[in-house]
Amino acid sequence: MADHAHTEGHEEHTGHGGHHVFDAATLKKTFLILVSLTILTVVLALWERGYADIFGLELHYWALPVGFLSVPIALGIASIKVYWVASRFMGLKYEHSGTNTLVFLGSASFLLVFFGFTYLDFAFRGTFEEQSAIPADVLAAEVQEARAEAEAETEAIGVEAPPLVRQADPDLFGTPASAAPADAAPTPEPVE
Amino acid sequence: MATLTTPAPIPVEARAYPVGHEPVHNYLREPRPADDVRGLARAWAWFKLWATTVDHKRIGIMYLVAVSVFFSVGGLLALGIRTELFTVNVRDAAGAVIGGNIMEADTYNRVFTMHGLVMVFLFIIPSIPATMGNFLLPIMIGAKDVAFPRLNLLSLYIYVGGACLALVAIVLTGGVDTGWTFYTPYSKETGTAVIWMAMGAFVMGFSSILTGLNFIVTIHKMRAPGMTWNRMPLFLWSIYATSIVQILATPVIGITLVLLTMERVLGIGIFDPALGGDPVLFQHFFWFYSHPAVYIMILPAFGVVSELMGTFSRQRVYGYRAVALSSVAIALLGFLVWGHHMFTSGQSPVSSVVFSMITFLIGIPSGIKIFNWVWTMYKGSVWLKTPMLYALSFLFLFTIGGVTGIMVGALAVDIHLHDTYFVVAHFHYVMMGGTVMAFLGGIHYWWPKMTGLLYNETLGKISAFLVFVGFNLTFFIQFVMGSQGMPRRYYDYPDMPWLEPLHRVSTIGSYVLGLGLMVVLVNGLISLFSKKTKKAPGNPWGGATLEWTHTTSPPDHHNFHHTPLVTHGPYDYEVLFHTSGDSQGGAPVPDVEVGGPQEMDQTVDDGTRQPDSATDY
Amino acid sequence: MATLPTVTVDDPHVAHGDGHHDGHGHEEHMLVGHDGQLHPSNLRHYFVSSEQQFESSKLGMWLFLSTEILLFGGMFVAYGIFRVLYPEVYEAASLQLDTVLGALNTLVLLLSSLTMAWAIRGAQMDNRRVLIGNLVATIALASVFLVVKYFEYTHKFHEGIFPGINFQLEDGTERVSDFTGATELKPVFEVTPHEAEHTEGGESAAEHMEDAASLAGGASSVALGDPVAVEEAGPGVALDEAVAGESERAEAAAPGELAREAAEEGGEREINKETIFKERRAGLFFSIYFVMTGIHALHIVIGIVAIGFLTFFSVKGRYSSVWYTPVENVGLYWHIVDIIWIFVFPLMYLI
Repeated sequence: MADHAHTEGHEEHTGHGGHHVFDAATLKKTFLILVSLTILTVVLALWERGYADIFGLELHYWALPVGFLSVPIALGIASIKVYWVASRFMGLKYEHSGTNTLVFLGSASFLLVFFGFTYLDFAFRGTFEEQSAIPADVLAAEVQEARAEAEAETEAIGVEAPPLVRQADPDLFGTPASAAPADAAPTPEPVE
Repeated sequence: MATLTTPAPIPVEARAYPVGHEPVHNYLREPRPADDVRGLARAWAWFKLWATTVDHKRIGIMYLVAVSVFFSVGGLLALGIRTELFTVNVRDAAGAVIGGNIMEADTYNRVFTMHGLVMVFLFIIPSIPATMGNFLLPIMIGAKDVAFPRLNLLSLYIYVGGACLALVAIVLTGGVDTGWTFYTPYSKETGTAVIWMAMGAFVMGFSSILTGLNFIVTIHKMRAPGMTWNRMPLFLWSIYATSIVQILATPVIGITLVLLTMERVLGIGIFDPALGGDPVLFQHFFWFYSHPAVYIMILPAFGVVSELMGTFSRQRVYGYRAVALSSVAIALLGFLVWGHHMFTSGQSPVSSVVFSMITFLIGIPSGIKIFNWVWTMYKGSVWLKTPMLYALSFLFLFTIGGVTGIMVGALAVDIHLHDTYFVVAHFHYVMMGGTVMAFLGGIHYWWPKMTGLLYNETLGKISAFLVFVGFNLTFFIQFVMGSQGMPRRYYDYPDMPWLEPLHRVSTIGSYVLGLGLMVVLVNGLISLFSKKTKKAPGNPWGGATLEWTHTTSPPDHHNFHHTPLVTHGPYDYEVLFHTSGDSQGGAPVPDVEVGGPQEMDQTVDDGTRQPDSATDY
Repeated sequence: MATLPTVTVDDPHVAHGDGHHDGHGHEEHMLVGHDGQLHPSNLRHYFVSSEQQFESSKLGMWLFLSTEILLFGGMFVAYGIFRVLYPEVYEAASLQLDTVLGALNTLVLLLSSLTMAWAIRGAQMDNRRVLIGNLVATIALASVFLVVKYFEYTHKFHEGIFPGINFQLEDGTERVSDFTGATELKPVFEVTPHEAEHTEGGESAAEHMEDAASLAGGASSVALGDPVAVEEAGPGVALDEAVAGESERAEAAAPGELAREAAEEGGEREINKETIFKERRAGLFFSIYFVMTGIHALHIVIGIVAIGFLTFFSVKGRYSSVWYTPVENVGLYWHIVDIIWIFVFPLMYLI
């Protein structure tokens, strides 16, 4: 075992047990990068808005026309900040085994899977309904018939039948690609 | 496949430990109260020692007791369900029920909900990992304990705490009636103790997470010298895959239950259409966990079956790498298929198609395993002891369950079969015909190791037979019922009276199944408390993994005195016993216990003289 | 007959005769083991070396952090889905949050990450003053964060924005869904009437908003999501009434298109906040905001408690370069809390 006094000669400036010691300059540099990125993202966001309210002072100015790109830009800058925190502050850059990095990135990717597949559902709601094989007027006629039957049954037994079909609120889950006429084939939503 | 020099097989009961190496200091006795402490004080001291233990073996045993109790509770609830469905209820002219039932509709809702919740959260998810995983993992990799023993104890406390929350909810408030899936909007509106149950499940989720965490770190960092990843027993590969799923999936059910609680308490509205939310979003959240949860349930069972197949065919498990990697593949793919529970919920057709496709893909690794296990038996010497009977049941029943799973994974078919008894039969085939068979097989297999006693083989075989017959009677007929249109979670079936005979068969089957499980219990109790029970030798089955070759039965308090050096794979029966196949009526055991205590160094050591074992990975 | 080789490999730390102290100057943290040699007092018997124990601890912590990522991730997914469905609601609602305070909180938390990392450096360098000083600084900064959050929350409650329709602060406090006057809420945006051909159905955006406002004003309180009326009317009625009252919305532009168009215009962009907040969907943004930042604040509190324990034990001299694992692990936890905020901030406040 080397003598304690001579450990300064190590290439990596390892402390006892071989752990990497956080380097002061790196920590400071990382912090400055993080602050700059924060300022950048705030400035960009305010610029995109065209409006800022700073302690009661309201400013209006020309808005940066990025449109929907504001989201990826903001998330991209946030990701870069996360990279710096994870690699320098949390020490992932200095580990000799990639296991911890794999754990971090792996869980983040499963989160993306969660979001991605759920989005796949919501993004495509109402995609195929207008392409149902049954023509709309035939469907409408069937529904009318069923409604009449239900009413007759209600009269017969004197007890109100539960509503057969509820018209979907077209606004609730996103507007279908083509505007549906008011009496269009309603989509029965089986209640889970 | 003749043996070279097979000694005459020594009957299991006659094999003794080498002198001086009897399991005196086994984990059941050490640590123990001082000899002069007697009576009530001694009982209290014993209680404290077990309640504050950090020994993974004792923790595993406590989990086993808890899990068995909860299994019984869930089983009694199941008998309630089946008894209720035995006959169509008798109704009067106005349609009100006047007979033929043992409970009201509302009670029935609570019974099947609690059956599901107790079975899923209190029994199946911890069953194999927390009992056999805890007990065996450190021994199988040659470590003295798991990486975080105190965290292990905390896991146990959290599990028991959460279970108590749930049980108190049942006893005090009559339980929940939403179905174990807690679907909104009903779970938001119902007056039953949803928050209580949700919090119980939330707490138990933490136990699951911490156990998985412990196992992953132990497998990564604490393998003995020579124990490479490819020399690990397949049981550990499956435990590893299970732990990955536990870590990644369980937090999502945590946040789901928190959000559900917020919905009920604050009315935040994200699942409420009147406030702009979407109930299907709840289903996405719920099933993102609950589908991987079913892989948490089945993967450890796969591991147990691998072990049983190897030992009781006296042959290497065929396709080690395929079986190992398919466990990990199932774990990861299992996160991509949750939408197949929501085909009829109003999910977009695009995502339904994607989920259906991936569901088909996930059948492939499971199939790979089944083929590998069957191939393991080929030209082996199959030894039909009780654990092997359960393993063979598993092969047959899980295959049926898996194939019917593919059936309901087909989008068009599921439109008709969703929420019918077909689905109920499918998941009982995989969960009970799969996991529970493996659980019972594993318990019988490792019983000698855990208790140092042998169980009664005849009773074991009877129980395996009764369980198998009862299970199939109960559930096979439910495939038929379901495809005929019998919906699940229905209290009664007045408009389908022709299903009554089928229901009766199912109910009778459930009683046979219950009887079989009682026989298992009786077998265990006799083994524990009868004076005629035979003590088990270190390796009654001739297994080749470290728990059989390097520890006594029951194992020493510290598992090993010295870190074992592993030089062969986990199924190298030829290396150990100079045999493969051809057991001639008993496990081929050489004259002295191979790998038993006498193989270790003579100097007794308390373990500080250990090598720097693998710290990489 | 095969004998199973079991070997006791020589422990390199076992001195081969030379009895020099191997404590590297840290004798106060070492114990004499059963074999007569020194080993760190915190080395547990089932671990072989301090290195193995440290690495195991760290891996365990990272696995726990991955559960935190998935936990918050659930809320991010909820946010993301509703954002995709109702972008204009989210954009308008996020204007209600104070960007400056949010940015301030972000900087505070980033600084606290720096001080936490510096504290670990202090432990690694055996510098107790640096260690304790930075731990205290981290706690101070975290408290500043919580104070700012407190002010933000109370301001929101004052404006009538609450986590959910059942949340009651005190009787008589107005909630956003009851809002009749829009004087207290921040930015007042009116949609500037721009070219008619940009919108479907040939209606101008302003007219859309007028329609919506009149619908909102004229529609029954049930459609508005008024909690009392909803409860009285029962579930599902709100849906039906909303459908009845808003059927002409089927011809309106797709959600978010207004906002997008206005952004593309590059001109002055204004949204009628009255409409946004009277429509029942504003709650989707704010409920997720409150739940997410609330759970985040809970994690900050837990972190403060943990760092408090670290400070206490550091003062007692427990940590040194031989063993500082708890400091390392709490540091990792703290950085994850910061990382979560790094994502929450732009999602809630900026975009």
